[in-house]
Amino acid sequence: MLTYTLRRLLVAIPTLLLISLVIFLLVDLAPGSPASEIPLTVPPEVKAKMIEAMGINEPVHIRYLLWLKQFFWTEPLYAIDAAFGTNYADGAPRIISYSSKVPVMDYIGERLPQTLIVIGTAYVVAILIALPIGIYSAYRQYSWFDQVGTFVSMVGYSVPTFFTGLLAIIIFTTWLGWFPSIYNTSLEVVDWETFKQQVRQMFLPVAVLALFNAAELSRYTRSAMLENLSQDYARTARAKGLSERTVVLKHVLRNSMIPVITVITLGLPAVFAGAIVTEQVFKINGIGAALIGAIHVNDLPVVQTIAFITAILIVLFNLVADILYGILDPRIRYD
Amino acid sequence: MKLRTALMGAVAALGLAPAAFAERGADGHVNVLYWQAPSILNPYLSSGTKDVETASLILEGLAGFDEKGVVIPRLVESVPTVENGGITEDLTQITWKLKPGLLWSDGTPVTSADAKFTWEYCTHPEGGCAQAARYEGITAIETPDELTIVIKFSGPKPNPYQAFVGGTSPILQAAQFANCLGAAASTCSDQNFKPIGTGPFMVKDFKVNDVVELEANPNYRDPAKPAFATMTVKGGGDAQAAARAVLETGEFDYAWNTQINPEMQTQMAAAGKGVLLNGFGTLVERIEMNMTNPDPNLPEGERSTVKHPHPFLSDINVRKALSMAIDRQVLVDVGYGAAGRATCNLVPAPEMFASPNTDCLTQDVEGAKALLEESGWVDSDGDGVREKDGMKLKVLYQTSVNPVRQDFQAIIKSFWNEIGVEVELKQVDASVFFGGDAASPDTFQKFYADVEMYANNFDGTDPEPYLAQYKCDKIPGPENQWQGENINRFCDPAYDALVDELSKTADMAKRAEIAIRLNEMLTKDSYVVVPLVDRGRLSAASNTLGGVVLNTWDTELWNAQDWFRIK
Amino acid sequence: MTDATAAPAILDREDAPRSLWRDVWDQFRMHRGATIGLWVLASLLIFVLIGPLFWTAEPIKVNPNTAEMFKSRNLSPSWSNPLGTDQVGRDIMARLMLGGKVSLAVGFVAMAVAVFLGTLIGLLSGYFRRLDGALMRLTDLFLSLPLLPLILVLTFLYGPALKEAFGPNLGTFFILIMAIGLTSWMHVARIVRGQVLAVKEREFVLAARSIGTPARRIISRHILPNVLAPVMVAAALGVANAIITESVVSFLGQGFQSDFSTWGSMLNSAYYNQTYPMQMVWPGLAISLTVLSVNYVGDGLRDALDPRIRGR
Repeated sequence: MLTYTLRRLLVAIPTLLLISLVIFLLVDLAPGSPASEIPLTVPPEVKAKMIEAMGINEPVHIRYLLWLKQFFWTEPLYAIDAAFGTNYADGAPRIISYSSKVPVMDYIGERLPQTLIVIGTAYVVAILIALPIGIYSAYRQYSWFDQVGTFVSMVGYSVPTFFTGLLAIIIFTTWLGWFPSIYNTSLEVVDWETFKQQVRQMFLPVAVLALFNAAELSRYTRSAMLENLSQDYARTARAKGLSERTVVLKHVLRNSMIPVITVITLGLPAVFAGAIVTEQVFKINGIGAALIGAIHVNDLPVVQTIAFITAILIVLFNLVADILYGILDPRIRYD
Repeated sequence: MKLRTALMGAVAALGLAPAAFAERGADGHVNVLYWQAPSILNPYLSSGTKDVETASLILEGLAGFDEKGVVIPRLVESVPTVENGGITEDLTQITWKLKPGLLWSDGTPVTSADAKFTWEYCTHPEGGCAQAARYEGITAIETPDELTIVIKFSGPKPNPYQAFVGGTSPILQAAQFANCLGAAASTCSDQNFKPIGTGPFMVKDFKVNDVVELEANPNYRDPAKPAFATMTVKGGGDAQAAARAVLETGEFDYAWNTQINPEMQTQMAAAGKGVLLNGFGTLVERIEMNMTNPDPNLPEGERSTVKHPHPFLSDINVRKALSMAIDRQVLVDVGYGAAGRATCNLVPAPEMFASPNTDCLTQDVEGAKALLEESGWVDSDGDGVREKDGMKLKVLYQTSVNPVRQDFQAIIKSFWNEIGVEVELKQVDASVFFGGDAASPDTFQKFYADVEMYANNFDGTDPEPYLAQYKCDKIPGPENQWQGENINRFCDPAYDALVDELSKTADMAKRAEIAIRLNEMLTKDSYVVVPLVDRGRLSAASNTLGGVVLNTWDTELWNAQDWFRIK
Repeated sequence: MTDATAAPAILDREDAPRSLWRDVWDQFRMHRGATIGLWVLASLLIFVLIGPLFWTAEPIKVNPNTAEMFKSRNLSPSWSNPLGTDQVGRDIMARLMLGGKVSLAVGFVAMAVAVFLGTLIGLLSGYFRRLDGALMRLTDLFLSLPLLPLILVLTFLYGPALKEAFGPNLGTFFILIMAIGLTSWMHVARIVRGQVLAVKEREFVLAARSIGTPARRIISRHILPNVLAPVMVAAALGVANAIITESVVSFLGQGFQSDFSTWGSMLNSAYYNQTYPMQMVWPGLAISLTVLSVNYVGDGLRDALDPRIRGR
């Protein structure tokens, strides 16, 4: 297992380098320019100077290597300095956003809490809803509960979140006025009142995203359970006279959870990347909103860095999912 | 119902009485919404309105503009003029006198050295200063004593109120920014996000593109102001959500640039929690005619250049007919409502510079048809499209992606179809259209289309640099990487001569006369520029927020120190 | 319920031999959701393809007579405009038909591109050992890219060139199907590869190879038919995915030119006119219904093609 993990990690390095190159070039070659954000009242000579100061005029390969160095060397040094109060980085240039001149990592750090809280909560809520529904629908296949559950999950899975989100805003925020229309990122939960405010502002996006995620997860759970319920070992367990409860919740559930946990793990990077559309619709200033904003103003360093971190997380969690699979299912051996 | 009536009464009563007994910080907290979130608080590194305006709460210039466009003193005793001796007779030197005893928010004194430093900061060749144009023509700044700033120009400067005037060129604290000159400017995050200023507020916390938390500046020069102890400037979302948060839900006290369609203006204003404020500046949505041939069959490098005149738009009658066919009031009613008004002028304001021309305001479809007939454009094959010498009147009409512009395109297309002109619409993403990338075929400077629509304005109150954009030598082309500002490739020696005359004229009345003439040469004389809508500013303010005056000549937050809570 | 109805099918089979596809169809019909889904999908197709022949209101052009245009803006549903009109007085039903044509076309064609690419790569990497490593790394690489930003960047990057070459609408169409196709073939490739790996070792392939059948024919004759079932399921789900992606891209303002409406871009422009929320509901409903029915059809197909379920 350990050698397998190490081998996979080593293979991941060239893959990631290749991904970083692809992302960098893709974003870099896009035809837009950060100059578009400069108002027309600014004369062209001044505009040219501003662009030059951003460092865009360097050749592409030099900028790529510089970015790689900053990403893998300078930024970790700054992180170490921040954590231990040391001074290894010694003022080395960091990855800096074109439009706001903020170090991109600090920017991500500012955005991460909102994304983790909202999207993360939605994910947890989705899991809590999806598992019981999936299990029970499989156990009572073709019952009315299953039919309704399947239909609801099908709807949740099919209706795009921007549509449900917009509808929810119009109905619950505009018409009924139950929830605030702007997400307040500086709200600190210190007492019951602020906690209630936080819950109120999170409610709609969490509900919409959770519905979407739960729909997908419950479908996986259901089909995994169905597969296992008809296996011989389940029949054997029943034949041994074990209670239905034990059979379903101990034997079958445990085996069905293997693919479901994998699916949950694979979905985790999305918690970081934020749901671009949901954040856009509900005006949550999280990572997804930062990304789409940066795409719109051609803030290349921000786009490249966020996209690359997402890619790293995807690769990492793929690996974690594979390893988990091996741990949970002793029949699988990776050597 | 009763409560509401009572509130209205209170509002009416207090609205009349000024906040005479105000005390600094007495009114608690105020919430401001900038849906385009502030990304940096140093206007020298970003010229975005959102950044400049938010920064103006903290940083101030020596003087500013009031809502009528008049220069008002901020950090100085009085505004220097030729009459009071502040400006030399030959217009090459201006002397500002700081008020004595001014303090930065950190308690240190404001001196003339700070102003000199700011000039050095912005004119450093590697700094990429966004406001460099404001310091153009300054040869030296002298500081004979702590309170006196003498600015010397290379030649006569009829409009010297550029450096250190208004929110776009405030004074930075030399001590804070000493290590941020040149290439280091963009790495000074602490300075750029928490500048020390002289304004009514100072930064407590700043989250990029998200939120700015401010508190009253304890060293602000008027001990009674600001009335609010703390302020939040929140960013994110869109214009609608912003308008709603002020007008319908009342979550915010003030929202900037709430550009929403007329139906929603009415609906939201009816909710009664706040009002929409509008003010008109110099922003004009216009159609620019391409005087050169954008034919894709021309070799690259010759397309849309002065080498090839436009096959049919060089005919003034075609341009005039296209202008006559447009009903501008409809555009206003569909797109802008109270935030727009039909105009025939490229320079709609300030009042003294605006031409009285209103010829274009009435649509004249029949007149347009007749004009085309007259100059030989007839529909001989009956397909609904006019032609002449085998060439069809087919127009490629481009603009940036934007919901209002797309509605305008659809409507204007129908007007032009009506007079027998075929129209193909094209939309380019704004980041490409305004991106200025010389390699992209879709920038507005390249103008690979027959007509294009966008909005432009000028900074401050003086239209001279704006009108100078239409000189022959500012035509974009391959030789200058398409960076010129004369988008329609208009070239008239008489026009150039008149612009040169304007730059030498100091007398205000005479300047206005020349500017009006120049404006008319571009619009009603030649129809090279077809102005459509004079776009105003539309912002929303809560009924409980007092002292708000919308200013289109300086930043909208120009008088935040006078804001107070109506109780 | 299925147990009871499935019983006659087993009896049937004992009586007379039946074709595989007949079995599949019978099983498919038993899936109520899938049957309804197929009906809904068919009626949506009729609506967008045949509808315009009967409903001739103008979807794109604005009435040049401004007085009339003004009166016809933002109307509520009525007999002359069953779904109302939009902010410049165009009939929403006509726009919905036009937009549906585009949205569905993008969905189906992008899916075809993805399935073609995925099947090709899956076959090659499953059948030819030498290619396996490289192609699977490529698949992993694509799986690790953040897809939505990638699609947005792709439409940014190649959009202008394609628009130049094919005109604005066809160019956008191509860029969208390419962008969506290029970013959604990976799952198909993985499924096909797994299936090929399994089938390749079966006796009948061995037999074919031993009599000297060339690889090309083994693949087309013996392997491809055996991987068709999972590919069809993936294709159905791919259509749903492509339609949603197109609408997201259009919703974020990167899709078709505005006068050439799609459901996503209609939703986007309705968002700026929230005084009339119904203008938003129609295209949203259309997208949701389509995706829902396509997903149900995919579900039914999966059940019908799975021999373990079909027998029961």
